[in-house]
Amino acid sequence: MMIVETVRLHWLLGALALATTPVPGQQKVDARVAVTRDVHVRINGAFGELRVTGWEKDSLVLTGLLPKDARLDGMGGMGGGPPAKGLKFYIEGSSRPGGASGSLELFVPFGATVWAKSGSARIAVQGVTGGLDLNIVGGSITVTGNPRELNVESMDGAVEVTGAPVWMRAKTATGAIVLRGSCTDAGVTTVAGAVTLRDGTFERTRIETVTGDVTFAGAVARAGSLTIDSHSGTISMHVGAGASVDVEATTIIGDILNSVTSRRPAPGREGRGAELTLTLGTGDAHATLRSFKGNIRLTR
Amino acid sequence: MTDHLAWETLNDLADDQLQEDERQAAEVHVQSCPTCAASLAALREALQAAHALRDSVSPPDDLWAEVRGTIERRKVARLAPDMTYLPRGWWVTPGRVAAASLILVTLSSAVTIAILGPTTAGTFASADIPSLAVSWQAAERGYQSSVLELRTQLATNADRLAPSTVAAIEQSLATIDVAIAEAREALLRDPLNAALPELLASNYRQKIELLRRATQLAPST
Repeated sequence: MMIVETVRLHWLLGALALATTPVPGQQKVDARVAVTRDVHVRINGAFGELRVTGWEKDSLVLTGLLPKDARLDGMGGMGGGPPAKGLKFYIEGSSRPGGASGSLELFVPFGATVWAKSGSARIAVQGVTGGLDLNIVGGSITVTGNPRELNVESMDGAVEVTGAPVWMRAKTATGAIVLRGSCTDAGVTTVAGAVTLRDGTFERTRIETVTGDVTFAGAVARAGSLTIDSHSGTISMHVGAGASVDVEATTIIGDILNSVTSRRPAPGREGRGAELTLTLGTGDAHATLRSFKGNIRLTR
Repeated sequence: MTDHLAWETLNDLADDQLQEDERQAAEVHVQSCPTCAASLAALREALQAAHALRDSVSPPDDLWAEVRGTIERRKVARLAPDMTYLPRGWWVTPGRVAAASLILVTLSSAVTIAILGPTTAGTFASADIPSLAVSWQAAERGYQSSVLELRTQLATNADRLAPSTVAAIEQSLATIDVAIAEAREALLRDPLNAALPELLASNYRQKIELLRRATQLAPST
């Protein structure tokens, strides 16, 4: 067993060494600087992958590999002196096709605020409790942890958050959005992406889609509100056993399926669509579910 | 018989308000005049029905909604023609405009027919071309103004974006436009529906939000 573990560790170290060793056509990035605990960091430009990790140290480290003819600006201000309160990096992409292939790893203090923007990129963040503002066109954004503020925007890139951001805004065109955890103030907007919020407690939540399906499988906090509007997406609300919420569901020309109580939906105005109002528990929270032609499902 | 009792006399007779001699003369006339007898019977029937009514009557629950609907319908004003068409954006070519118009008209009509049924839709459209309530027109003007501004801005930066990104934006905008057309059509047909303005506003917000994000995309993305 010990031999296997040792071999595995050596293999891992070897893989890491390879990953950070520049091959022909690549350049190495290695920047280290003392920063304040609440430093603001902006990283913008042509990178294909960015991993951001919050750590306990009062320093910032940026490492990785970029294409040989890419240019990284912003390293100039990283000399001695007092800890930096703000840093900006700009990566000018390679002129070759597929130039945004650089891979970067950024370590920042837990309480840092990180702003990252690229075209098609994979951004993964973990352990940052400050603010995050992440913007891509394609690729993916993965956030793990409890940032105070989280703003994520993408066109077709998927967004996945695991944790409990206090304030969160997620916007995509077609990318799916998943939040596993809790949130005090969540706003989710997508044209055609599927939206899933689950597992934790949500206080104020607003979800809007045009064609994207919405699944809410969390709890609405006491005195909280949940509003879901969709034009043609299916809205599914999974209600926990101890839920205490007023539900008001309306679909203009769709159907409502209620498998939570015995109450049947009423026909909508002028006999089209359906409406359902019900109170679960003592109705401490309020949920408004509206769809134009999508169906609404209430399930346990 | 050509001389009938006066309408007032008939009413007083029904109400038992005539002097004795007048009452006797009127009753003699009624006995020999079927017309006046019928009028007197109708008056007494109406009186009897009125006495049967309750002292106070509550209006039906939906009365205010009907009144409000009538007021809103009378408040409507048409949008200025230039507000219904936006200036040409970078992705707008005559062919695409024609295709998009055809799709929108077809889908709108399909939704209308699906909602109202073929007969109703036809008669409604020919009898009375509906308009959005004044309050909604103001909101719509605000949305369209924002859309116009963002489209202009996007057109300026369009050549900096990758063709695949432009195509993705176009597709999403088309999806939203269809949703707006459907929700707007339904709101025109049912202006008192509380959910429809929210859904239409949501679609407009989506469009503005998408355009805003598109204008802020990094170059060559």
